Parts: sequence; structure tokens; C-alpha cells
Amino acid sequence: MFRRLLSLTQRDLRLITRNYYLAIVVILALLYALVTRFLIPADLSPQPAVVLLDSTGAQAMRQLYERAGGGNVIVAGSADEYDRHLEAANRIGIKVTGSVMPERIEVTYQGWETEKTRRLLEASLQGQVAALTGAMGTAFPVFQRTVLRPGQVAEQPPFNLALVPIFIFSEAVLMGIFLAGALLIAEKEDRTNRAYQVTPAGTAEYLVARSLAMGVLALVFTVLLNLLTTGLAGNWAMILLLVFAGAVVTTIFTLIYAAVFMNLSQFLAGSILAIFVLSLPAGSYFMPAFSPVWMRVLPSYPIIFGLREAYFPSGNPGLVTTALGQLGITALVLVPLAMWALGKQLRGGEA
Amino acid sequence: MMMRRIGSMIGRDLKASTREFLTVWVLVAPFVLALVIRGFVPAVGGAGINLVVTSDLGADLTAALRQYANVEVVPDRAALERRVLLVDDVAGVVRDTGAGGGGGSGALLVVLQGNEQEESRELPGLILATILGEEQVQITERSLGRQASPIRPYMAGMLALSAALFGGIIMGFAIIEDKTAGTMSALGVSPLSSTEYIAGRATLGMSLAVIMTFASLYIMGAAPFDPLQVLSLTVSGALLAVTLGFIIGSVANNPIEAIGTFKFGFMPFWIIPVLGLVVPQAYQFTLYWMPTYWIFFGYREIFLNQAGWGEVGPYAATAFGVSLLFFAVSWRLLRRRLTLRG
Repeated sequence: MFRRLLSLTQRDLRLITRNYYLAIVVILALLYALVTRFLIPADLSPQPAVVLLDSTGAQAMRQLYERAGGGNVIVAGSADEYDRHLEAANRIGIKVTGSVMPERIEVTYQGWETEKTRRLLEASLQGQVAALTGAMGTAFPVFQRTVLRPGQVAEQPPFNLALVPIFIFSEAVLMGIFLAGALLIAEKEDRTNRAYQVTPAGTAEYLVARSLAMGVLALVFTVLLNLLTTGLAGNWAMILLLVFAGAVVTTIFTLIYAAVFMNLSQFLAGSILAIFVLSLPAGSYFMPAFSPVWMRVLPSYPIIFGLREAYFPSGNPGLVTTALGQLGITALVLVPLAMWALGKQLRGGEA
Repeated sequence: MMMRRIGSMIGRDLKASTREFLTVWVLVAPFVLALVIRGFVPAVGGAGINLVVTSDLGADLTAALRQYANVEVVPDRAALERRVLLVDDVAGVVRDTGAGGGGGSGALLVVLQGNEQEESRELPGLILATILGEEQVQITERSLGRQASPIRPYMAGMLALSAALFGGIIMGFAIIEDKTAGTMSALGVSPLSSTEYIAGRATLGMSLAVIMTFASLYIMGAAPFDPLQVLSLTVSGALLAVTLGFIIGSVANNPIEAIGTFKFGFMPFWIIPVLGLVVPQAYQFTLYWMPTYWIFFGYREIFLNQAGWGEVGPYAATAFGVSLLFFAVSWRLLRRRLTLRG
């Protein structure tokens, strides 16, 4: 059985190599590495987002914003200049008035900001003024904080390297979504699936061999891209384990789905949609507070955060084990379905 | 006569497509994508901070917190800490009842995991202070009246590019199916010439690309926009997508090679616009060779700035010129590889 499995995996890998797919994987890894190293900046400086006009005598707010720096504040010298800067999209205006210290603030919004965003900005402004007037801790209370995991830090890696886990997710973990389906459809078209019926190999061996082949290909991409971008940094064992397990699970999912379709166009439309939906948690990757419930239930959500932890450890290895556990559960659910769909395909001739 | 033969080939394709439910699904897929984006955009626009509170915090304070943040309520402190420790950024607000639930000061505490981003660390305390403390400054609001989320124009640009790509890809894969199913050989003994075959496929691919782009944009909610301006860029997107479809159809001989060629061709479609947003101005010239750069930023002018023809025109003209250049360069390959008679 083991020899049959090995031979089936070798057959899949030979097929992939003969059709130049291995070469394509290698070239794609090199292209991603080039883009990451030479085109994407390491520091993504924020664009100016706040326009400030401080008309008070002490200019305390202006000094506060200038001290805070950050490059996302434009200090206007006059009302005309203030209005002109606000014409650009995606800016918020803060006009501070008062004799010496701030007494009134007029906030100018674009119009699309939610009520909660507006209230949050108000809370932030109240806090800033309290800090300036010395009311912090008295009229404006301060609340004690408890940190559950003091060892964990939210260190931000350089922007270009922060994208590597996303590239790995979309190209390596999701490798099987296109390729495993294409292999299955090619077999349908040239009727190799019928030839399979007269071999001693079973459905389980077919499923495992195909998953292993996709896993190996995903590892080739990952090793190459890692070596050329993040180098030896990160937890390599966990990265490779997550990528391999992720590629195996997406392959099993694809084999269930591809069995339904008769040709490549039909299969591809759904695959692009699946890739788009599974990639949505990349939004949470850059904005961890953006985590609606529907996003958290996507199977790709823990994988993306597991990859981030494996690449840029923050002292929370539980993220990787959660992702691996979730992949294990998904595989348990999907394997019987895949066996059924492939069984029909391989033993019955058609899905 | 030639036009009739091309028309008859398009008619055959359309008839064959509508006969199968699954092929109709291919045409519906971009619209499903548009609906997903329509749901996704307001969710991103509404992203603020997340809080989790215990049920004993009090209805008034919980209601007040809901004006500032997304609030989840859990039964006790243990559940609150479990929620704080999950993957996303969530801060807890709880009354200090001491270890084991007794003997604490009763004061409000902010519970953090330790790896939150700055806003999730700092804002919960400021929100509580604003609700429970004294007003420090009088704040008034003014609105510029711009209703559209800033994310929407970018999503609309990406969707328009993707929808055009769908049209081209479907055409490319139809060519491969013609090859593998033997339809190409059957057409070889018909009066249809190779040029007519390419023209027929291109007409169908470009029409599909344009229809899909407009329908997806309206479904996504990108309107109002000037349809002529959008068309001026969509034609370039469709031409590029059809070129990519022809390259896939001519280079690949089976589904595996088709997927490989598609992955290569697909990359510039999405990565060039993304790079255009993050690459420093001094290096933007490195992206000029790709039509998707001009198309995407042309769409941005339309959807974000509601720009006039003075701004959109140069983008549309450059995009069309570069797309045409791509097609011209590919033409020899297509003529050589896409022959109906050996």
C-alpha cells in the first residue's frame, strides 16, 4: 500500500513537472521575492489624515500634535489653508478655538464616517484636552489596566516583510485550489479516471497522494520565498507545518468541489470566488480590530493569524496550535465527503 | 459572409453555454463577487474598536459603551478573559471584584491581552473617562457631505478589473476546450478561417468582459458614475483580458498548463494596482509598462474624485495604447499557435 501511495504521489509530481507547473511555482516565488525586496517599501508612511487649525493663544494642541509627530497631521496656518487641505478625500479637520487653552473644537468630517468613529474621535479629543489642562486623573478619570500576557508584544515587522505570510497563504496554502482541480478535470477529459478503475489503488490512496503532491509543491514555494525574503527568521518548523497542512486541507476541499464540474471554465469561476472569500481575513491581518463574526468563522482566518505568529513570534504560540487544530477538524469533516465524491468519480466513472 | 460565419460561431457558443446550468454559473460568478464586496465594504468602513464586558457592568454603562465600540457581553470575568485572549483585538471592561469574585475595589478595569494595537490599548480608558468624567472641551461637528466610503472606489476599481478578466479567462479556457474536445479540428474542415476564429472569440470575450464589468459595478453599488468614462477604461481592460485569454488558449494544451499560464497572467492584474498604491512616487515609473496600472488609476479618478474627461482621458488613452501594444506583440504568437488547419 505504501509503495502504491508513493508511486501515485510520484506520478502526480511527474505530471506537474512535465506540464511546467513546478517551473511556474519557482518563477512565481522569485517574482514575489523581487517585488517584496525591491518594490514594496519597508516603511509605509501614513498619508496626512488630520488637518489641524489651532487659533488659541497658547497653541497647546498644535504643540501636542507636532510632538506626537507621525506624519499624518497637517498643521494649517490660516482658515483658508485649513479649508483647502480639507478638500482632499479622506481627511478630518480639527479647528481649535479659545482664548489661551482649547475651549471649543469643531470637527469636520467627510460625511461617510460612522457614528461610532465620530464618538471615538471625540473621546480621544477629550483625553487630549484633559492631558493639556491637567484634568487627567481628577475631573477626567484614569482607569487601571490589567495585561493578561505581559510578555506578548505587538511589534510591527517592516511593511514589505509583513506581506510575506499573505503571499504564502495565497500562493502556497491555496496552491491546491487551482491545481488539484485542474489535475482532476484533466483526468476526466483524457479519461485517465477510467484507467484508474482497473488498478489496485483505492480512493483513499488517490486522495492522500494528491494531497501530498500539493503539500510538497506548497513547501517548495514557501522555502524559496522565505529564503529570499525573511531568511532564517521566524519559526520555520511551524511555518512549514502550517503551509503543508493548509495545502492538504485546501486540496481535499478542491477535490470535493472539482468533482462536480465537467470542464475548466466551470471549475475556475467558483475557484476564483473561493480564493477571494478565503482571502478576506487578510483585511483583519492588517486591522486586527476588524473581525466581524462572519470573518472569524472563515477557515482561513486562524491560518492567516497562525502564519503571522510563526513568521513574527509575539509570544503567543497558541495561535499556531489553534490554526493546526482547526485544520485538523476541517480535514476530519472533509475527508468522508472527498472519499464519497472521488469514489463516484473514480469507481463510477462520473461524478 | 465573413461576419455571418463569426456571428454563427458566437451564436453556437452562446447556445451551448445556456444549455448547461454550470456554464451559466460561470457568468453569474462575478456578480456573486460583486455582492460579497457590497457586503464587505460597509463592514470595513464601520470597523472601530471591540470591547467585551461582563453582564454585571450595568445596562446604562453597556449602552453608553455601544455608542463608541462594538460591544460583546459575557457572563463572567473568566469568559471575558477567554474572549480577550482570542486572535483579534478586543479589550475587556470589568469591575474589579478581586480574586475569586470577592474583595475587590469595585472600580472599573480595562483588561488587555498585551499585543493589541495602540487604539485598542488607549481608547477603552478614554471612552470610560468620557462617559463617566466631566466634559473637557465643547465639541461640535461639521460634515462635508461626502457619503461614499473611501474604500469603495478602490474596491470598485479592483472589481472592474476582475470582471473584465473573467471575460478573457472564460474565452481562453473555451479555446482549450475546443482543442481538447476536438472542436478545433472540426472547425478546420469548415469554411471558417483562423482569423475569423480569433475575431469571433475576441468579440465574444470583449463583449462578456464589458457586460460583466458594468453589471458588477452596478450590483456592487459603485454608481453613480459616468458610463462613458467607465467604458473608455473598460475597453482597455477587456482588450488586455482577451489578450491574456488568447495567450492561455494558444500556449496551453491541457488544463494543467492552462492553470499555470493563468497564474502568470493573473498576477499583474491584481499586483500592479496594489503596488501602485504602496510604491514610492519615485519608483512608480517601474509600473508604467502594465496597462492595469493606467486602468486602475483611471478608475480611481472616476470613482474617488468624480474627475472630468481632462483627468480620465489621459489614463484611458494611455491604457488603450499600452493594451493595444500588448495585443500587437502577442498577435504573431496567436497567428502561429491558433491555427485551425494544423
